[in-house]
Amino acid sequence: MSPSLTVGVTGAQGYVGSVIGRALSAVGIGVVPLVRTAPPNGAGTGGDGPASRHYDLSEAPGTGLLEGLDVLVHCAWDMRLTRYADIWRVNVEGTNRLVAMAKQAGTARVVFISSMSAYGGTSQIYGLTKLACERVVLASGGAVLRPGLVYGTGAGGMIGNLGKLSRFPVVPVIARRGAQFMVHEDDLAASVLKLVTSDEVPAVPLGLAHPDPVPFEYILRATTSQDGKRRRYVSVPWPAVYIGLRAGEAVGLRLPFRSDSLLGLIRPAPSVANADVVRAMGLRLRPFPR
Amino acid sequence: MRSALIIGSGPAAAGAALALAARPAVKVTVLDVGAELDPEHGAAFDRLAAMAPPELEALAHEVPNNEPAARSRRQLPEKKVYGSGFPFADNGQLRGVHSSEATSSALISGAYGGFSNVWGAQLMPFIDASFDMWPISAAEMRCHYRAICEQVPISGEEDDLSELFPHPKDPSPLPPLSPRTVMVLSNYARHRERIRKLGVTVGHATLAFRAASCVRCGLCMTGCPYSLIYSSSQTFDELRLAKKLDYHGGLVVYRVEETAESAVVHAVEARSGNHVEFAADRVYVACGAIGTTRLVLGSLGLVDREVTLGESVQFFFPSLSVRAAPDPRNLHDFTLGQFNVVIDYGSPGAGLGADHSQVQFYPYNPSVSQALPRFMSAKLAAPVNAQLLSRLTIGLGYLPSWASPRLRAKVTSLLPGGLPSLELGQGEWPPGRPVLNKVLSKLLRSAGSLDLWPIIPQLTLARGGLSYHFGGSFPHRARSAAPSALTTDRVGRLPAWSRVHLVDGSVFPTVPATTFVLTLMANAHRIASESLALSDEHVAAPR
Repeated sequence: MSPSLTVGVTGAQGYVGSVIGRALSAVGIGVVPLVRTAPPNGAGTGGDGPASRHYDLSEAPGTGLLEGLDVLVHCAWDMRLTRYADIWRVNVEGTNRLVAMAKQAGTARVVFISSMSAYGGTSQIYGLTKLACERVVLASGGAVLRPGLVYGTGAGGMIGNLGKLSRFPVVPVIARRGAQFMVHEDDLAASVLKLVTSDEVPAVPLGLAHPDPVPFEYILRATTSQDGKRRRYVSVPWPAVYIGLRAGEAVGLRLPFRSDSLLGLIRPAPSVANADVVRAMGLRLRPFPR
Repeated sequence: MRSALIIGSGPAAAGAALALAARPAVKVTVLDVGAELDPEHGAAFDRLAAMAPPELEALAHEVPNNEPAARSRRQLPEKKVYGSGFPFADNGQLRGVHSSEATSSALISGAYGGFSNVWGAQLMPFIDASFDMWPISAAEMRCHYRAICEQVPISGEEDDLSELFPHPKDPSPLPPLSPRTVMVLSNYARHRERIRKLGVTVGHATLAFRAASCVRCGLCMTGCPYSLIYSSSQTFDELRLAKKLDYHGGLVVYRVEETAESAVVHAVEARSGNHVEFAADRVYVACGAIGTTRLVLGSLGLVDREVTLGESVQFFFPSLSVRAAPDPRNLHDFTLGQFNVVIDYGSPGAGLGADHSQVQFYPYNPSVSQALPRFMSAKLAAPVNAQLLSRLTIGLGYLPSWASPRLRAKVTSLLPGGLPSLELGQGEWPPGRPVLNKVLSKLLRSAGSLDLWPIIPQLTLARGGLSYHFGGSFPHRARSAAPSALTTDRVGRLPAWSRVHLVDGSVFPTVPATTFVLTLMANAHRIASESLALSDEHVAAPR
């Protein structure tokens, strides 16, 4: 790959997308944010890079969306949806359209940010739909990354939600026996950079997390704000929480935590996919601090 | 120069043609009924081929009679191609064929490309154990499987099924799968060990189509507007374009015979009624197993001599899932079979042997809605209809020929200058249908894990012949067996003939339950390849 690259990043305003955008900009790569709403400064990744372009997963991509892009990093995912049909229509069909457009536009590579929730055996809608997208990207010759739970400064996503949960004086521990694979945001960004700049990419999904699983309760304690307040950690049976969340979703409540995400905590991936391939690429992933 | 005549243009004929046309020293001539799409439907096809989705889907609904036509409520609808039923139409080749109620009579295609115009495009080899009942070994077949897959597009995935049925060539990836398929395959991955212990294996379909060019218009079952699904007519088109063979359409072949110097084929021109003869060093008969059986029995004058054919009988049933997938009517997935379930009903712990059944699962296509009771299309039933369709999958299963009723065929009278009258019927099922029951029991035992519940009361057995997986009227005889009148040697020759080779399903000693066409083409390729070592010089020419 040429060193003077221009990379489009969908979902560049999200947590993972912004981490990736900043990391690519930092090494002189031109980053074009492909975002639903253009940021006030016109760029969106903190640098003076090219202007952002409008992109919404739920809409047909505009002509010229991918013009001039060498690589497309696809992080966008509409997390507001809860019904399988809606998630499929927006995220899977949207990704299919985007990959087809990248093929037509001659974009050299698509790097898809999947999830550790995508594994053969998942029952999580999030995992199933990510799996469906992975097939399309791999078939097009693209690269697929499956990050574990991403942590770091200002972490969003699941870790962000857990952080909010652990501000309460009584912290519910939903999956006490569960464990998650973790990846630091800098390691994730370095891995994307590697895939963007490599001449070839592996034709398999790359699990991106330290291979030692971290117990869920430990993650909760680690994300608790250090404000000196005492907190109680109380085990809560997950089916009760799941039913409650489902009921809320059924009546149209916008909840901060989705029932489907809970399944991801209860039934995490059994292992990190193709960790040997990741190691062979020279990517080093730090362990979660204990 | 050596000369070869091929009768027919279906998959077996294409397999033989690929082997023969690869040799510059062989002049290949194809004699065929060769019916094609009529001008009205041909024009509709041309319009569709020039479109892209979503205009394509809107226009497809305007094609006359585009949806499959139901023969009866309890039978699968007859597939159409661009609204036409030409693969099933009588162009002279069905005249004089009579069948019992339990058997279809439209088992001989007069179409250019034969029934491959309407097939399910599943392309898997037989497993090695299936050749244990053949005088040809799996190892001998391998190079012919590869030769066919070099010419036929193949799409599939590496998974448990491809370990059992290895792809002869690396396949292209399948297009995006339907949500239901993604769910079932994920459920299988989660419960894989338990399901495998039951003798059940699940995997992606392997299909003969150019998946990379698929635009996901969802029109596979009514004829791909871009001709991405393989038909043997494509092989003949390519060979004709490359001037590697001569093609004579509009001919109904009614007799083959041999002289001291050549094999002679007698045909009648469908349009003019004129009789013509062709002679060549070798003749390769590929009229489809029933068509070939009729031609051979008539040519040998064997009246009232009943022969039987093995059929891998077909059954089909709806399956329901507890967990709903998105309403398939709003999606545009490819509608060929997407995943297969192979059920081993043989000895436990012995690994997959020949005793297995295969069920191909199809996602939603519009004919599914049409097959539902009429009240389901009422406005009031719309919510129920949506819930049902988001949980419904159609399974199309096959049993091996040795666990299925046999087909019976008998020439009842000869007709000078024409094809003889043929009577078709179906034999009896083994009492209690024990194999079918074993297969269904295993499907039910894995249903909870896969979330794929077969609705057994809705299971229907297809009429005799409608699996289109049949053969063995003149089976290859075992190496040690003495020649008998109605068996063939390994190059498809009956004892009565030395220059006439039967190359289609009529020579299959058995018909396993797995997909049929790849082996049909590969065996024809093998016969044609091996026969070249036997050939004498003679140029095919009308006499």
